[in-house]
Amino acid sequence: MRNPVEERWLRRFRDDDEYETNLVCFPHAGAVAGFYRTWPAGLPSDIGVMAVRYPGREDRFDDPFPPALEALADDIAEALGELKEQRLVLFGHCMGASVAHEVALRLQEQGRPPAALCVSARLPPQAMAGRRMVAGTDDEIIAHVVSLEAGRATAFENPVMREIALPAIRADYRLSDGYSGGERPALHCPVYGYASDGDSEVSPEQMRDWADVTDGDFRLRVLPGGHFYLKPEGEEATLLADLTDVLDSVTSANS
Amino acid sequence: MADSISSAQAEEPVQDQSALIRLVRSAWHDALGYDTFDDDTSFFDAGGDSFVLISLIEKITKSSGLTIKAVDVLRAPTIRRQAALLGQLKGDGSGAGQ
Repeated sequence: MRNPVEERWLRRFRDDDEYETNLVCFPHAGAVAGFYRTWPAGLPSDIGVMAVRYPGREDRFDDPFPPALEALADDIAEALGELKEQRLVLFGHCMGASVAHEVALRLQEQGRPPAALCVSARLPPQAMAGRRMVAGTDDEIIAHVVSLEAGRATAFENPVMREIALPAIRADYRLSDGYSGGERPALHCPVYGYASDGDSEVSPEQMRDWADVTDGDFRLRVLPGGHFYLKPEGEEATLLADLTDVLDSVTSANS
Repeated sequence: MADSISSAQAEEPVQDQSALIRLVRSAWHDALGYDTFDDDTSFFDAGGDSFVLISLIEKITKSSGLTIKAVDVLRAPTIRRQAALLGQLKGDGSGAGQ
């Protein structure tokens, strides 16, 4: 039986307990688990696919925001406890990459490390110090969101959309800006980096420094596009083909 | 006279609720573009997101004539609970009259 804590934190796109290997996806700031809903169709059918539901949005609208990114990682690592018999590969985009990395560290500390960590479009923790902060007024945050994803401009003109979406975006930006990163203990699992060549947030060169968070293997893939290169209308198919290779390699390495 | 009023009141909520469930189910179908499995599935598990939620709210508002708040719909994420929300709004007159 699944416990209610796990259900609150995880949206399962394939509702089956029998998968030996699960890909756990971490959304970017202001995003929801459903961002990854198209992924199962592009991944092998023997892989469980799930995404983390952050508090303060959609189904969890009234659940309080965590005080810090580290606290969010504590909660998620605990919620993943029920999956300890299964092999986990974590994937995070933007803020989700920092959360996934912190969760990976906690799982490793608990003696059940993930099989791999995949990070996308995010500075590594050691490069976090002195970076540009975004969190300010709502208008500044919206301007930043729209600068990364022009298509969202019209949504913010809708007052109802602002009412339901802005609290989570605001809280995540504060969480993301408040995360200081720094030198973290080394992971022992392989780390896979994904960057895009036109990302205004982080360059492929900066993404390469994720190699330093692990004493295992590191590999970087650079795909065409901007910060949201991973969408279905962008490079989703290429990314999922690459993640399929990652999943194959961890499955054969650990079986 | 008093008897006929009370019997009408006793029957109405049941009929009303199933009519409201049909109304909400139909709005979900129009907003999502497909039928959902049951009346107790979360809108977000059924494939909805904030954008679709706004379209859903517009559809429910149009077909029910009631004014509903987005946050109330978020807090009642299933067909059954949204129908109950509409029933409540109808009951306390806080809907279209505002």
